[in-house]
Amino acid sequence: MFRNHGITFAVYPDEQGIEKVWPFDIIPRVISARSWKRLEAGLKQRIRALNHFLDDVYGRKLILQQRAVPPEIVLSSPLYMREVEGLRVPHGIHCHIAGIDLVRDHKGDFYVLEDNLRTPSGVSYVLANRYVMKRVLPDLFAHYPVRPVEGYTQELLRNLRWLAPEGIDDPTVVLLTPGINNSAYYEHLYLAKQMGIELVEGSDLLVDQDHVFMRTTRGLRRVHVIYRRIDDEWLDPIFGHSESLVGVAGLVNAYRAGGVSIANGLGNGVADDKAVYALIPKIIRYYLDEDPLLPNVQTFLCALDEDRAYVLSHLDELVVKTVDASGGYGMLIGPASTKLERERFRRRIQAEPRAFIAQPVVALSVQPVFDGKGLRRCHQDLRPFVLTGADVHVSPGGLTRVALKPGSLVVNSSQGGGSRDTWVLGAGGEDSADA
Amino acid sequence: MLSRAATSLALLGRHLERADNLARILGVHVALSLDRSDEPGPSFWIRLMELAGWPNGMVERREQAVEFIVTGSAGPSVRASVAAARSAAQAVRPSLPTELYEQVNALHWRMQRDTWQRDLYPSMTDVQLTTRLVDGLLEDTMTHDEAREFVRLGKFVERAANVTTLITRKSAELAEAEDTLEWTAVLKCCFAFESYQSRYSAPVTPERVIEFLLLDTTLPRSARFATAVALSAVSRIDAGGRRSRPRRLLARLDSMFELADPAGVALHPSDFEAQVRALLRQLELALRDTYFHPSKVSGTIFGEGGRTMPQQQQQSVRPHPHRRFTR
Repeated sequence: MFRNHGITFAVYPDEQGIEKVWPFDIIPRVISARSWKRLEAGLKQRIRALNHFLDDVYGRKLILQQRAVPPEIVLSSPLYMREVEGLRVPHGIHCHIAGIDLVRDHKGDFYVLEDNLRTPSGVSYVLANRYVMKRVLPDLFAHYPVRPVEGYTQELLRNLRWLAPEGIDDPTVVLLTPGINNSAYYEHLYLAKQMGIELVEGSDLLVDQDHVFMRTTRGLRRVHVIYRRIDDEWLDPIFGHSESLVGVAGLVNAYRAGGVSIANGLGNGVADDKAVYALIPKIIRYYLDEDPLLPNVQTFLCALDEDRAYVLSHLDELVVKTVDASGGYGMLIGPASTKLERERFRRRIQAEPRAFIAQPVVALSVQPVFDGKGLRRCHQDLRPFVLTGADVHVSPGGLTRVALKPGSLVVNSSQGGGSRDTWVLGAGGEDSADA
Repeated sequence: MLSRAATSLALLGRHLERADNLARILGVHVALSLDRSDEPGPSFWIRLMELAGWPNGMVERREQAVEFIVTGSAGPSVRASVAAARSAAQAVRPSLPTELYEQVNALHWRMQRDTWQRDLYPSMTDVQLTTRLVDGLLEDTMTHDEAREFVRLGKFVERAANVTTLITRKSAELAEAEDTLEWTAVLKCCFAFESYQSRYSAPVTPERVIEFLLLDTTLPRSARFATAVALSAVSRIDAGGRRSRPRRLLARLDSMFELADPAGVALHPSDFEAQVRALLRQLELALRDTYFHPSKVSGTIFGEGGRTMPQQQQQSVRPHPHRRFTR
């Protein structure tokens, strides 16, 4: 029976689908209006600074020339893309869609754990979670002024259209997906449907004289803006992995020539490199002349001698991460590691210090989870989504991921994590809810 | 509509039609072999294999032919066609009604089992009935838009080709002897025996069968009917008076069937088949260039609101990572 119906990886929140694939907790996470205001301001500040940083680093490089941050750390990033050098992107914006991972410590303060400025995913689950909550517990909404998350796709579409090359009144926008086998495929499908744009694969596009076209039954049609969900190195076989089948040959050149706009921009990885992450407070001060509203988690750069010495002598207390990896790969969690693992990391750090950073173990905030029998304490994080167009817009709420396994700190859905709806209260929302 | 989607939709139509056709001709020929007083020799089964699209079918017995046509992977088989239809449906799942996808998917999994070995007939009937069910879902649950037209295009072009093959091969094989049993089987391969009787109420003769299957405008399995449906599908896809190459080719094919002389076809079956095949090949290429994989950038596209790039800027854009260009 199950086989006959195909495996449903439902993003569309049908009751069976969402419970199967995306473990969902019924208790919403509530964030008061006041907390959110601080958080929102902090996120906007951060993204503004990061966009300035990207435009500068791929442009005049003032921040490096003035040594406000160490150039050797920035330019040695494996995610730095020389192809973007000197490129003037539309409106000077490189990062249009960001997902910032936040954690809250035991005192209730939010910290930024990670920036995702390349192809952050998960927003469809935010929308799906809300859809389910409204159906399951409509009465609860009546008691709280919960701010809607609905507007996200419209805002995104507006921003994407805004990126069109000059003189195009009605641009053709497409979403470029690696294809049906990608784990986020259903998010791509969902977003494309919501925005009413074509969901295309690399083979649907072709580049001719630095213009991009899609193959349609009415012949070739010019594409002006691409919301891509393919990583930089797979986007164009001419520039990245030559064996890429999901990419489009010539796309990077078309982008450089201004024949097509791409969101997110190429080369954003340099700003979410985990070593550069440690420099972000300085970056914010440099460009905006403001103190960062959202603190970083304390980070040691193994590339710096002093930091490295500290890291090597405290391996059993720290979390060591590889700078260009994400999704929990290539990590050493000190307190939970064996002596052998620590030795292995010690050797790797000494061999290639730039590739590693270390952070103290962050205690994620906890909130009860209803597991069918009763309530348990579980750890959670938060990923709000920040859209940058003419203005910076933070979608009220975000993706709250919960470690459903008792005692676990891992919130990734592949490893027993789940999610819950995130409620941001509008003005008049009680602050007590935040406790 | 994206070309990739159109391709998958047409493949869905084509492969289901192929599965249906294979199931049908296999059932009819197995029944025919049982009707004959003498056990038909290897040549009977080799001819069936050729009809099914296996030009070098090395078979001697019924069981071998049945196994190849039901499950073979080196040529067209019922199982392979259903599997191909399913992959095509999977690729365009969002634009198909859920029930339609489920029927194709469920048929695929039934065909993966070996129930046909115990009892061929119900298994082949299943394929044919499920295909009818999918036809019905297509007509009754899907918006009659471009997507539906591409499924129909794939299906009816396949059908026209299959009927032509059936008739021309049988004409060649049966030229020597007037074999009523065989010609009746030909009609049955096209669900046409009863319609034939009610149309002619006369003995089954090669000329009439050829006329009926090639030229009849009311028989859904006739070559002319299939071509007419394919032509109407293309006309609707082209909406707005565009006379595309596929449309012109289908119009030519249509008139070829219209003007065909049944006696002439019976006399020179291979000539007729060659003409039809040549046209179908051209059609295949035209469909590809027009709908499924357009690659030519026509001069007018660039002008269409596109930003014209200053010459200087174009020159400065080179895949040279270090070079900084000015604006």
